[in-house]
Amino acid sequence: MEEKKSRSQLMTVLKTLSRNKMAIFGLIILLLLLIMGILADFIAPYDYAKQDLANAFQHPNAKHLFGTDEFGRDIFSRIIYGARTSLLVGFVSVGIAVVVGGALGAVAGYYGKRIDNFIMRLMDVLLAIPQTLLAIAIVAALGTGLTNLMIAVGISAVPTYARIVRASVLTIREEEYIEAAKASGTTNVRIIVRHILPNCIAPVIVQVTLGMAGAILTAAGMSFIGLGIQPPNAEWGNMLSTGRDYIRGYSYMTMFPGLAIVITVLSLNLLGDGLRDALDPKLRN
Amino acid sequence: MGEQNLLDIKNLSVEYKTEDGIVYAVNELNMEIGHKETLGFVGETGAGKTTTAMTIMGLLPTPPGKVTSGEILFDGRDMLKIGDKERRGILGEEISIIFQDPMTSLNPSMKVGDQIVEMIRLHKTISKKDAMEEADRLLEMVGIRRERANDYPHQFSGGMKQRVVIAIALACQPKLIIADEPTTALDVTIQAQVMNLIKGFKEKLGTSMILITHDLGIVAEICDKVAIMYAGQVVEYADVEGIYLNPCHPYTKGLFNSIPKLDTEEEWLEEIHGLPPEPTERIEGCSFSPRCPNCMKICKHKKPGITYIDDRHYVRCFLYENQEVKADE
Amino acid sequence: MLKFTLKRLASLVLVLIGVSFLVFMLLSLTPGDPVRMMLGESATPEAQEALRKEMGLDDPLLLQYGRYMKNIVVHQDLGTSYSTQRPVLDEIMNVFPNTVQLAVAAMVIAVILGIFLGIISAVKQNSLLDNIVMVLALIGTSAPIFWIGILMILLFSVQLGWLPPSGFGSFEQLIMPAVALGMQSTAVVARMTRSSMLEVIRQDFVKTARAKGQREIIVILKHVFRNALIPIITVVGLQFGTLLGGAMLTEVVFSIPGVGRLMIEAIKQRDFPIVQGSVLFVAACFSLVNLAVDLLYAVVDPKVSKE
Repeated sequence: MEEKKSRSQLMTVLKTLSRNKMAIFGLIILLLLLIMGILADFIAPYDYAKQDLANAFQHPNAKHLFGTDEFGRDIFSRIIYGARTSLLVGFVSVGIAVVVGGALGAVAGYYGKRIDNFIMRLMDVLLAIPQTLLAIAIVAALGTGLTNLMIAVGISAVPTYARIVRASVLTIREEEYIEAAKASGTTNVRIIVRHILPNCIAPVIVQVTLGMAGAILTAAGMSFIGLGIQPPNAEWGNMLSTGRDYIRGYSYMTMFPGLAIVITVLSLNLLGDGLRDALDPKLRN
Repeated sequence: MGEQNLLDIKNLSVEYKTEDGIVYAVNELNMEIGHKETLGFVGETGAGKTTTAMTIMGLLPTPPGKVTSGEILFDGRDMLKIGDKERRGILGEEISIIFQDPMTSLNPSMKVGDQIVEMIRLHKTISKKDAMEEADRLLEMVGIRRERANDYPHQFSGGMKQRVVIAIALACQPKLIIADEPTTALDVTIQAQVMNLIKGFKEKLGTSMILITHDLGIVAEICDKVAIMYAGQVVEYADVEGIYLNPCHPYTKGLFNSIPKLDTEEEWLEEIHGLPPEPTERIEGCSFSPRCPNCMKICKHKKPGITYIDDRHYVRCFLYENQEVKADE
Repeated sequence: MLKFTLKRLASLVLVLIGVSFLVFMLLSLTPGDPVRMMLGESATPEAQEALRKEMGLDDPLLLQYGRYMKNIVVHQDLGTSYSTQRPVLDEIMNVFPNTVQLAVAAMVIAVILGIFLGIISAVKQNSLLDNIVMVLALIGTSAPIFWIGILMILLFSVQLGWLPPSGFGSFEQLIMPAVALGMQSTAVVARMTRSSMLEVIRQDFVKTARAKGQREIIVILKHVFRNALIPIITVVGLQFGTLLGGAMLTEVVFSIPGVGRLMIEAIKQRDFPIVQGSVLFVAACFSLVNLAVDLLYAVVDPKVSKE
């Protein structure tokens, strides 16, 4: 019975979403980027790291669609591999944030009192540091590189999810079916996982989509200032950083990575807005 | 109808464009209100009463709303044709409105005194100090201590807020007050108080009033005329006596039958069967025909016109149109 | 009101103690030896040992933290830079005004332009203008600050030669960084203003105001906007954090000597006292701004101020 109900709710959401042209547009672009990232090895015409000094600084041409960089690396191929990096960073860092933040929020909301107080004060501490700065500080401690970047960006987003999940849990906790589950001797962990978390999924999905956009931006920014992924690895932020040095005369080097970031982040934002409108009828205008 | 009416609405039609299609909110509505008269505007939710009120004031949101035909003559001026500036001069000064829900009809971030002052200073050139003095006086008039002018709406109860709304509506002694279900949102115990307050002022100031309501009891108590509205149309319009002593339209009869009577013992109240039409649905023929106990063949495919029972009582129903035809023969 | 302020101040102090602890522990766990960095690889083990002792690096972490905090509270001393040997606070104060100037300029742009565009969009909902503004706002929230900055340099400095590409101090040097940094926040503020206005614009009291015969522009500003302010203030407050973070990137793009660049340089040189001090300093500023925002609620919302 309940399953039927939730399925029909899902259908309504999908129907509303499918009517939102912008969101569908975002979804399609995103899927294309995803395919591009996954199949990069087959799509990219060149090895992203292969230097070819004889052909450095080539403006876009038939052989090198987006031109080549200062070491003669093919920018088009680097953009394609960059999609893999950015989406990976987006998924993993948001994944870290959702799991850690969600668990903290659920525990805080469910148990309340001292545990809640302790966890939420800890979140306040994290929230007192602007997100980019927090990520920078964590990288400062852990060192640069892909893994550390994902951890840093992920941790800096933990409080957001902790708050969302906690708020949902607080409203759901008082519902009668939770009382019923408690009365029938279900364990706390089971109640949280089986009953409470599925009910916070709507706001979390929206935040995950928008959060991925934010994570990709932050990660690109970190790489841009040299605290993220370093060349020769292909990452849009570090490509921009290099391009900046050659802006006089070789502006294509900054154009393509920048556009790639904007398109990726924009499609995530479009999808996130659409999801929010579909999942929360109150916010619809 | 020799003397000029204060408000004369002729053939008014209003529609809304929505995602689900066009909503025909008001269809060829006719009614009039004389000076110092009170008109009871009765009908179910969604019958188009509030849309009519908003259209009279020129506050219909356009889009999605659109007036497709008719005229609204207020004191000789067509409210649908006058310019924005002239209309603003009339609003508040000559016509004012009391909304249904006092909880939301006051600005939450403004002191109530200032909200009254705003109204006064828009239409009278007096100093701020005098306006505030006047606002205090108005508050006392509606039974609120003058010191409370410095309080914010959230510090008042629902009934008190509605008193403030009434004070605002009365501030410029308008010729016409539109009261849109002024007591529906209030506690039952407060309803009578507020209604009496409105009635008292109406008599004291000699204002005309359109009272939008579901409550036939209130209508009997304070109205001079009644317009029964169904699916965007006035289906019956008469003096209070006419309606109560000689209800003609099957819908009006149905409304009266669904009120409990004290003098007879009934096990069940009679109901009007069925539901009002979907707003986007355009019914061929009389819009009440699907629910009408007296429905005839003609009702299904032709719209009834206006039939006068007497010169102050009309009805839109074929039952009476035929009689008239017979009388003519 | 005073009680409320004091309470918030107290919790602010607690949060900042938490921040200092967190950052201190985080950076202490880092591999790498500051002593070797300060003295160079060629220093004798004895010299290294002596310096380590002098700096108290062999003490337990909690003791080191206690000393750090004591120095902050008693001497307003955030430590000494490993690389320049100057007090951290001096180093920060040297460049902090630049960062503040940049962030404030960006904030002014975001608030004025964002609110203006948001109001217009809400009033003309679903019009062509509304759609254009909203599409631009969406792109604005999606474009990285540093890329916008680079594009601006490309257009206004390299191509047109109108504005200087780097440096800080003059008004011309402030324009591009402030616009680049403020763009994203402008977009966010515009979107929030619009949705908040739309929520209020349908409410009954707005009809009441119109029914009074009030002019539409006054209705919009005095009745609608005033009541739409709270979510806007919230978002502006949060944007300040984003701006402080974004300022770091902007400083790199436009070669502005600010806290961001100071920090990034310090990280690369493993000059942790500077990193620690900067994070703590920025967190303190951000927390103070948040406190100010909370107090502003009380001014805007009569329900809060009476409680």
